[in-house]
Amino acid sequence: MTIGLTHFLVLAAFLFVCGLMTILLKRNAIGILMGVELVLNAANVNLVAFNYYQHPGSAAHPLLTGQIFAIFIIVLAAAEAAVALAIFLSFYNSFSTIDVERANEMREQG
Amino acid sequence: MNLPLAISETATATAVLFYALALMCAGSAVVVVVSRNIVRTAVALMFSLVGVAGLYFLLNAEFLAAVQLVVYAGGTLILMIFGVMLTSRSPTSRFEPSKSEVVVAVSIGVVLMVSLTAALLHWTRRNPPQSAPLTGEHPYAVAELGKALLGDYLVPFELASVLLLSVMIGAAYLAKGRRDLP
Amino acid sequence: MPTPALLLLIATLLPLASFLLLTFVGKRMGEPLAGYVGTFLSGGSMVLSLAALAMWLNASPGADYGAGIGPIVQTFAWLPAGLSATTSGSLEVGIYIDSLTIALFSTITLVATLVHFFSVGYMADDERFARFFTYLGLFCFCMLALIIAGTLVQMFVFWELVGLCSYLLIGFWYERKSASNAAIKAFIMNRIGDAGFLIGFGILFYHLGNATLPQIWVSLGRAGMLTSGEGLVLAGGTTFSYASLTAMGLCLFLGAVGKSAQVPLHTWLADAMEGPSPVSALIHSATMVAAGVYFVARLFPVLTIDVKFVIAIVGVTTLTIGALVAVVQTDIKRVLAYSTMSQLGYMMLAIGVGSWVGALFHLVTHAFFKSMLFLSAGSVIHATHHEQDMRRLGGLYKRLPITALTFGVGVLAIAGTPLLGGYYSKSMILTHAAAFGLTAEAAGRSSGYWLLFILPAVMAYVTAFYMARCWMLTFAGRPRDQKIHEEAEESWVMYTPLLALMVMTVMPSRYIGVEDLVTRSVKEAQRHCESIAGGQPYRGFTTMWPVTPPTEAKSLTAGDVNSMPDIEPPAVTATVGVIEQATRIEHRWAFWAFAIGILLAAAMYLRGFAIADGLMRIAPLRWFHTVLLRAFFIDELYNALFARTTRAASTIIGLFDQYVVDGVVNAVAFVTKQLATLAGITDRYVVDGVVTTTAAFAQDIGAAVRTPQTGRIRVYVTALVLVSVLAVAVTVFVMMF
Repeated sequence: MTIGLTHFLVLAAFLFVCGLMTILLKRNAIGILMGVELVLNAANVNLVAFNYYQHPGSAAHPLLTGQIFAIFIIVLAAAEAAVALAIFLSFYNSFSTIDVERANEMREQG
Repeated sequence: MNLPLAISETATATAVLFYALALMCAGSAVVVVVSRNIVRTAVALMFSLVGVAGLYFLLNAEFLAAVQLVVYAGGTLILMIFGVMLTSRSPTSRFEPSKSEVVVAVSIGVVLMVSLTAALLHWTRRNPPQSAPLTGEHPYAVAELGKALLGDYLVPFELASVLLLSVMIGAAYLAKGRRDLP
Repeated sequence: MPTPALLLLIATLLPLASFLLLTFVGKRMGEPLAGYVGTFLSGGSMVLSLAALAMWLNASPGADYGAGIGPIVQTFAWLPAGLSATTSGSLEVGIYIDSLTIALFSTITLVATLVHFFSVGYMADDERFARFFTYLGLFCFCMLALIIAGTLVQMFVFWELVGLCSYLLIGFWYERKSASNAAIKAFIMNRIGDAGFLIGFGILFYHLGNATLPQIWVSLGRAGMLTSGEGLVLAGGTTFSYASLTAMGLCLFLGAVGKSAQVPLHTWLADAMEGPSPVSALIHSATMVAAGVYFVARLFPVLTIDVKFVIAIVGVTTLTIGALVAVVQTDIKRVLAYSTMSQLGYMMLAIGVGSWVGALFHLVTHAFFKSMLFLSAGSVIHATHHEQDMRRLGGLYKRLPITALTFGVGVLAIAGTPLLGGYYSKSMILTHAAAFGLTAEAAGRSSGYWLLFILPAVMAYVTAFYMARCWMLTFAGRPRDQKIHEEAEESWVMYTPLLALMVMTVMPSRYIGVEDLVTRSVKEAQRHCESIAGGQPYRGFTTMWPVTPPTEAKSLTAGDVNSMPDIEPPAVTATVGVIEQATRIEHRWAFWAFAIGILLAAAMYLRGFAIADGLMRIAPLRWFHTVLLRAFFIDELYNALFARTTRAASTIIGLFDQYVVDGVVNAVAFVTKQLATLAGITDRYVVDGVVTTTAAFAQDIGAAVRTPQTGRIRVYVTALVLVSVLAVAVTVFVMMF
């Protein structure tokens, strides 16, 4: 039995769905951030798999576009995590919790 | 519809590896969803990320796999665990979602999974893959990656470095904490 | 990399090191130390520049670089990106070093070091002492990098950065409203010029890509010999038309107009005197404002005849306005500011009439004596506790003898006293302007061209007069304010740099060899261009107008005295005749300018303002005085033209709003009110029941709609995801079946 593109895509779809559900279910802000990371990873798997199966280039000149994109996504994910955690810390300093349900200061009163 | 990953003798080994890694990823991802303990969630996420790194190895993206391990599993996740420790009086504190939320989220997940899978299968049946993946050795894949990053993708590369700098400053500023707050 | 280039690069980077060091630990270093660190690093830069100068002058004849032999041109690939139709590969940065570069490096680092040292005394007890030196370091780095730049991209980057430093330093005492306004004014005026620079650069870039200076010179070297209607055919086969060449030259010149405070954009320079005096000495006299002249000089070969004509006109206008306005100012620094403007006008005029060497020679001599004048003024201001108004000074030579001496030497130098630096450069510019007039006459042009000689020559008298007036009012006569007079003292930190600059001013520049260096710079550039172009003689720096090119007999005129004496142009004898004639004219009409101007001022202001006040009683003179005092009302004009019109437009719009729109609204409101009263009566009895029901219904809807607006992020996310997932699901199933 050989492994094809579809296998990777299905796995990525599953990871994506898990990430989405994590975002929906967690009330801990950091938990939500973890869900986002799962979603990004699913996208990365897709990019690399497409690169490998659909656009590999030739042996002399391999195409690496998918991998490059994945690298940039990893960089951006790290940056995003840093800023998000800084925001959470700031939030925690003000409200002594990181339950996102409590982050509703700007709702309509009453 | 499928094409061999490498030479045919190792195809079975590859398949076994893939399924093992896929199981690891998917299983940990499920734990991430259902676990109520944030520390356990983080550990499960780590396994999931490591599994993805293994998948990159299968896809001949060794450098990316290393980056995944170093930056994600080693850096980002540790950062998150620090965040957990800094923001929680008791690291095991829980906030349970309500029953209705669980129902909504699960139904969304099922619908999305079913439709994505259906679309995928439908698409692969219509468009079987055109080109074969590269087989054989890529002794200088990392070198090619480096050339691409410092060649065609130089401007995004530099932009990413500027972004990282501004994120560093911004995060330090945000997390500094204002002492004049009550 | 050749050693002089390496030395100059390190000399460029040392002020950057000073900037970085002081940024991070300047405050901790504290009051005198931060200043001495800045001075030390700047001094290191000076030593390296002088070492490079020595190596340059002693280059062996066999070398491929050195004084009179050739420039150092090096480029480095920076970003791999193909950027234009004619070039591909990468965006390059580079350095271009010739005698001019080295001469300016030595000048700038010398002045900068002395200014740093002076500032240790001048800025003592300032609360932002360390920051001042931080900015100075950044400025020196940018200025040196601008001088050494080998491509226009680099020039533009550092051009903007020196503008930024200028802004920061003018507004250094930003607590004073006038200072922060002056900084903003300078910044905006420079922005207008820089927009021109950017457009001109765009035109150049479109045709040539990011070319280095020699590449630009070679490709466009014949620009100065074109007549309108012709075009230059470039290497790629494209044509660079005369019109776009002229447009490019004018736009690039506009950048220099802003930076060098030339006439339409000159108003910022006088206001820039709000900055500390050392800043005025370094930035607004010696270096940054001269960068405009340097820039135009570097682009000289690509300027067309029309552009040069515009440059000459602008230069003459500037020097005239500056000199006239300086006559009546009473603020000691404003006199110097207008004098700077006037001298920059002389340099621009020199470039316009083709006296390349004259312009840059004057740039260097002017840098020395004008920074000395500004530092002397700073010494006076510091000694009198920030009194800049000459109406309250006077008689200070007893209290500040050394400052009086250095300021006096500066006055003599700027007035053009023989044997001092300023004399040679000024007479060279005037001679070339006269030669220009002669050739124009010979070519049958209108005698109006003589104005380009007459006005500068007359203004030479005026220059001597106003500078001597400034000295008389500050240092001579009886003190007009006893308290200021008694408290005034000078200190060694302040006058040591003054004495050093005085030595540089007194030593006749002819024997130091500035002129020689600048002349050799032309030769080096020519040699280099010839070697690129494959041995064809290169005339870019020596082409002249109004003589019609390109036939060789006519193209050789005053400009040729700038060029090398060893390569004899064919028709040089005729040219020498013109130059001799011009020299005679210059000597007859302008030689005694210094003596006449100074004596007149000495006689007039010997008793303070007595005679001047007497003259003021004559009405036409009084009116003229007012016009000059307000600098020809140009600020008021700009205010009326731009600020007022904007304000008037907004007032009109406001009135429209108030009367028309509000009127309509009020009328509608009135009618509505009447109707409502009418309807109200009906309402109260008939519709009320219905309305109450409807209102209750609406309220219920509102409440229902408001419920999901909980401020709970997860609810929002869930809704968002739900809708998107449903959309995906529907799409997929529609697609499949």
